[in-house]
Amino acid sequence: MFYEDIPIGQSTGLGQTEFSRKAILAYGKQFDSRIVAQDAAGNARLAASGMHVAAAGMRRLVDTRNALRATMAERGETLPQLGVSPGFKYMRWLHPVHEGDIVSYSVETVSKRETSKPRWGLVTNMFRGVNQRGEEVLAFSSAVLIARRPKDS
Amino acid sequence: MPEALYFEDFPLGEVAEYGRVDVSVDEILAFAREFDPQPFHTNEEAARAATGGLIASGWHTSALLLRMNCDAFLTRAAILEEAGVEEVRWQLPVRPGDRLHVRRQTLARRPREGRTNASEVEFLYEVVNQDGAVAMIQRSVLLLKQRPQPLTN
Repeated sequence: MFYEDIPIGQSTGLGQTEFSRKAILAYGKQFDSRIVAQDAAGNARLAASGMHVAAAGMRRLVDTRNALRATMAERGETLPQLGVSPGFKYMRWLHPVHEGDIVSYSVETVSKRETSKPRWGLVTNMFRGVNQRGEEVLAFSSAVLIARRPKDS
Repeated sequence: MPEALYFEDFPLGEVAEYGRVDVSVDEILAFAREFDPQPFHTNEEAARAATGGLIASGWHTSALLLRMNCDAFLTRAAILEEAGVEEVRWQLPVRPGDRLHVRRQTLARRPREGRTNASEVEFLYEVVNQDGAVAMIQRSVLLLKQRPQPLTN
């Protein structure tokens, strides 16, 4: 999908991730020793690191985008070049994600504008993660450069 | 058990430097395969054309910052609330062989409405590479307990 094709205000589902005890602990062992401390304290239901919840959402985004690109390739369409993300703002962890929780991720384009670079447009997205009880567990805003549709396609 | 760190332990303007992570190809690949499988993070050949060689996922650099913060102080900090992250910028690529550390600055300290025994501290974290260049910044807020006052008569 090129910059021109992205609709504003439409939420796209990115699929779900189930947070197993094993995955929560694996991330904790590598990056967030507070999770390991929860385990050592005999906590029956571990809560995931907030950064783990966000990174798992990135995986959902990449998989969803790859599926879309595969469909485009099958139709013989030109594939947009992938841009590297410059970061994010206003990340909120409104509820903890516990082991066994299933988080549904989505992304919504809230604004877009052309840039001084003729081949790229700037798109601002709102990412959300909602658990199986409908509680928002993750939200953040991210601006990313998206390739514009080439003139000849 | 090392002593807890309270609000009073983070004076305004303080700059602290800590941590050391040597970023390896294997770790970049392992993280990206799990959370961010884009070609410039997972495939050395594809990365050569796209980004001049393999680069770490920004979510990986964020996770490495979290690890260094845990080791340096987060596990000991008397945190009442960690609601999220105000801003992250991945401003330079992180590549295999890079050696990273953290420079943390106390940006602001402020009371929290309705709280008499806890206050907010806003930190700026810079992830600095071996050339002294800042690869990533993160700005985030912790609600920290104030040091308990000894009982007096």
